[in-house]
Amino acid sequence: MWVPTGKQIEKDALGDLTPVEILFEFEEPLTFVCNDLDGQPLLAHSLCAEGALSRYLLSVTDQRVVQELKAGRLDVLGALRQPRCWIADLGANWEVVGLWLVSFDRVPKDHLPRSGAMITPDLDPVFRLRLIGPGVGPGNTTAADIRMAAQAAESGLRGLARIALDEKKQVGQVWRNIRDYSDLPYQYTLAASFEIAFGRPRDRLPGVDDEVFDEMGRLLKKGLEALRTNGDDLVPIEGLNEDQAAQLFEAIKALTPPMRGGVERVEVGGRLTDALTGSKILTRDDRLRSLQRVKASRKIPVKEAPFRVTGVAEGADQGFDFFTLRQFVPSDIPGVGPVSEIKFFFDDHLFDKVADAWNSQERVTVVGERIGSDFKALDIQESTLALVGREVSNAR
Amino acid sequence: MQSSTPRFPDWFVAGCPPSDAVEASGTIYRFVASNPGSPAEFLSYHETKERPNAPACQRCGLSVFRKVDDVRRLLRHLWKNYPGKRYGPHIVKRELSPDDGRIKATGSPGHQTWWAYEGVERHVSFEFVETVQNN
Repeated sequence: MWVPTGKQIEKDALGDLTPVEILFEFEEPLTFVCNDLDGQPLLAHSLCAEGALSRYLLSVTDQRVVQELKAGRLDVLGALRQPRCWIADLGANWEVVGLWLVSFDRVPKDHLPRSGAMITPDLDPVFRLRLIGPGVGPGNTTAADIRMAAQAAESGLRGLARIALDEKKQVGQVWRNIRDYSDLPYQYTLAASFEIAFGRPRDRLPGVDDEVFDEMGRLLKKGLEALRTNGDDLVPIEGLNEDQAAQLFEAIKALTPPMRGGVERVEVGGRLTDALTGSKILTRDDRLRSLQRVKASRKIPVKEAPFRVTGVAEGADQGFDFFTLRQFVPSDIPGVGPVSEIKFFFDDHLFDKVADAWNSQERVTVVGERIGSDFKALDIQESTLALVGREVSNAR
Repeated sequence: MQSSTPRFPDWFVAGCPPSDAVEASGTIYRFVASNPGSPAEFLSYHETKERPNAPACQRCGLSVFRKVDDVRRLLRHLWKNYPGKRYGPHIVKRELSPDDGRIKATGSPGHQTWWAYEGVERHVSFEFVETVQNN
């Protein structure tokens, strides 16, 4: 085994290092809490082993850190990082065979846990996204970048979940909505190069969720491989029809960095990307390629002239890319006729406006267009009817 | 040659395997470092004298899994958290029958310990399944 860089100290300097709480074990305790001579907790983490000796890194810890670790809000590396720590060689019955006082920076990096690795596999993020570029980092990352990161994750996952659940629907297996797999709970952020991670759905369906996330991971792998291997050749993606292929490339596009600004690359990670064999870093080139593939995959339907309609946005739900407009004024819509409701699809840029309209339940004017049998919202504007209503209530 | 009444090796610790371990059966998965796996990779830690702080009875058996997904997930987790230790990367599988010993769920979810009867060649019949990518 390598010789620790630090000061070798008396073997009994920390006392008995027998685990008092095991946080993760496989065949033996790998990460655990033990107490020093004063009864203060130390976090022990296995670095390597040889024969009957196991080498552990020991860091001062406390109950708050341990709770954060167990809740998946703190990664193992973050919990271990202390300016001064110890390396202990432990033999049978936790006997201390060697002990060194070391600086954390001198611990070989290839023996330390990776950034973002959680204490147990079920706490590992489902999906994480890291922004890379000259405009990223403390003091540089803007609110717009953070919003972009969260929106990219939500939009990308929504596309993947839609295809994954489509397949389940076809065989009559639908347990959850798309949003259950796209609007995931925030897990943690890291500031150094802005990273945001998302965990499993709050109400877990263990077997089912794993199946859907595995399928979403396979789709992401398939899409990225098609994008990067085939380049401009429009080779069909095995198992997906044209519409699904377009949705897949839309989902990948959502994860890619914008063409301008300080974010030049986006690294994806987490359980969903475990199956990826190629680079996990998405570039602007990936964005261009996905755009080309989206355009090529979509048949161009006949668009009709845009129209305006005023009503109340109902039936919208987070995680979906459509809303239903009802309570029309007037009820006979020019170019559409007398209908009681219209289901509008919308692009990501309208997400906030749809959310506002849905939350307020006030009348809004939708600028829409008919494409074949579908309706697409081009813009959502505050309705003058809503303004009048508000003024009346204010006057009262 | 195996005796007609199967028994566990004399070097098993007292009370091992536990009384609630059941007759071995079904498919098991295990990860190994070499492909094809060498017989040494199917020795228990008790035999190799490694992992002295592992539970004594589990040290007499072998770590196996029932689901290949559990093996993949655990391997990736171990690689992320304990990169200085060597786990995998190859997954192998084998069918067990009651003549092979007893088995019980132990430790973390999905993990089981297989205690082989005296004379059972543990490495035999394992087939290569896949190599998990460390990315």
